Amino acid sequence: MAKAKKAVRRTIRCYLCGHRFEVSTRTMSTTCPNCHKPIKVEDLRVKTYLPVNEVQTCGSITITRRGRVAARLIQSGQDITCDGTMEGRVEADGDVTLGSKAAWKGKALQSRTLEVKDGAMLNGQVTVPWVRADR
Amino acid sequence: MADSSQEFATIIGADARFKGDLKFDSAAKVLGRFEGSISSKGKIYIADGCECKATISAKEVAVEGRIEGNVEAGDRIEIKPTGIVTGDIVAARMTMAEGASINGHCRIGPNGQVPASGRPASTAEAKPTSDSKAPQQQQAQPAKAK
Repeated sequence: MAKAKKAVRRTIRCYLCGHRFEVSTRTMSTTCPNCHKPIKVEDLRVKTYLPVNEVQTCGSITITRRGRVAARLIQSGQDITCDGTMEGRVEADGDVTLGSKAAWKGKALQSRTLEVKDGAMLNGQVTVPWVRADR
Repeated sequence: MADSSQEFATIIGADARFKGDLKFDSAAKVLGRFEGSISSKGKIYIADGCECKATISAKEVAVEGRIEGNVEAGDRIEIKPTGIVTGDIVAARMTMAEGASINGHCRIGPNGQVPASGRPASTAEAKPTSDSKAPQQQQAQPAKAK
């Protein structure tokens, strides 16, 4: 007899309106039931140059050593791990880790915790710990 | 204790309250309360439980306590898990442990970074080259050949 697979779900928080709701762990993008706007849920991995207006996801963001993100806003509902370069405002509901070869320049960096390895470069306003206000 | 006394030529005890300007040629460890400014050619260690409302300038700074003021380290600054810094930080290198707290402007890099005052903000707010209106268009572009 085939075993029924139990649906594994997780709670995410919409980065546009702050509404919390459940999605499947396999979900990559969805529509927020509150603000009805499309949002990303997947984890993002940046390996090369990424110049965009905003990098937003309810998942985590990983920037590899050769990765470079130039954006007005880099926003993650979980953690941000950077071994490359980030330019822009950074907001993370989780932890931000800057590796020894990482560099960040921006107006502000806000996260729950911040870990900076020896050799990393920073330039901007840092606010740690930081908790996003519920709208 | 023996190690601390050998490493730090000056120790300001936990029950000490000091207000003024201090200058050291070598390393100093602060355990009590301090208000004013501290400058050293060596290392300044702000121990756990210490409350410093001061401007600190040294070659090396290690923070385990609380600092309210600007910190300038010629070489490196280390913020331990219990460290709290409220103020601007300028240093060549920084190590920050998870759990530490910072609220201020940071300039970390060789030579304190950023020669031009307005450059970092304008660089960080640079307009993206791709069309930003397209939703979900967050694909990585191929790296430029050097």
